[in-house]
Amino acid sequence: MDSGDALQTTEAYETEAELLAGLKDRKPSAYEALVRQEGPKLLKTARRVLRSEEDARDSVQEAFGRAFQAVENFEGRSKLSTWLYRITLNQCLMRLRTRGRQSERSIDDLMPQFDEINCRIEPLWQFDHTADELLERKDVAQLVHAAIDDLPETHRKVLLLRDIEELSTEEAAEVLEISPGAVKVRLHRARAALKKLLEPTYRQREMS
Amino acid sequence: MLWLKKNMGKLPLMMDCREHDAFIDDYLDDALPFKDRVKFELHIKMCPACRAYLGAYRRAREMAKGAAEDFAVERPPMPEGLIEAILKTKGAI
Repeated sequence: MDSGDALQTTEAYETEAELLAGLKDRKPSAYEALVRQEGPKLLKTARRVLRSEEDARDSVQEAFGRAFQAVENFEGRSKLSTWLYRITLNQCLMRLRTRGRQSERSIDDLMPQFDEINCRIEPLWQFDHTADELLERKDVAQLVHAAIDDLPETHRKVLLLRDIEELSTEEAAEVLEISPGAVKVRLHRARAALKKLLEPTYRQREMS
Repeated sequence: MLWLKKNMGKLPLMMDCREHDAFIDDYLDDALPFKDRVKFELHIKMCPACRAYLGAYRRAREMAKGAAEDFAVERPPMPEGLIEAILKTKGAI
């Protein structure tokens, strides 16, 4: 690094093409502009996905490291921000894998129940509070985090990409390198399992 | 009532609870064709168990999204130390 050019924030990159040219020329000011412009959004993404401050910061740092190494070959087929977002998501998913549990519970136990004539067996729930009101309670927020963490990794990843990051089925399929059909199946099972795990926060209505 | 339950899936414009379950995500994504949507909503009107299930299913999704968003929003903005650490990474390349 040219130390004289370090942490310069004065050089403005008005277009993405200028910024990319600066990155390819290895200008420190371009690197810094990229980190300041995209870093906060990426850190937010990593926090949402990982729900651990330390893991989120490490993942963003690793993601930028990978991006800096690869930027010379970046062809501009997507926006820089989209490219970085994908790298960060992959970094987060890798981290989820490394912090995975030794043994995972079977998701089959959490699936909906039907009787012999295909009628659903389900308590009648009622909701006295909105989701936001419930989440203001620390114990409920912790229960939700624990429930997400309790899902098997393959299902948790799909849920995070579709319901937390709000990627489309096709985008999630691309990130996970599985078919859109597999995304749909896993998502349905993940949502059903999460619903079952969150039942302690719902109130059961008396049968009339 | 038992007759209706047993024959729910065989009547025109009706589906049984198991079929109904398979349509939930497309329904929530607004991706059901008109005829299936009508069948789905008709089933919901007639079946309290599926109505309760759909409410709880939808609620779980809202809570997962809300909890993750809250975690991200409650944190401080990107710390200067992290920016410097990232730029140092760049220096090492």
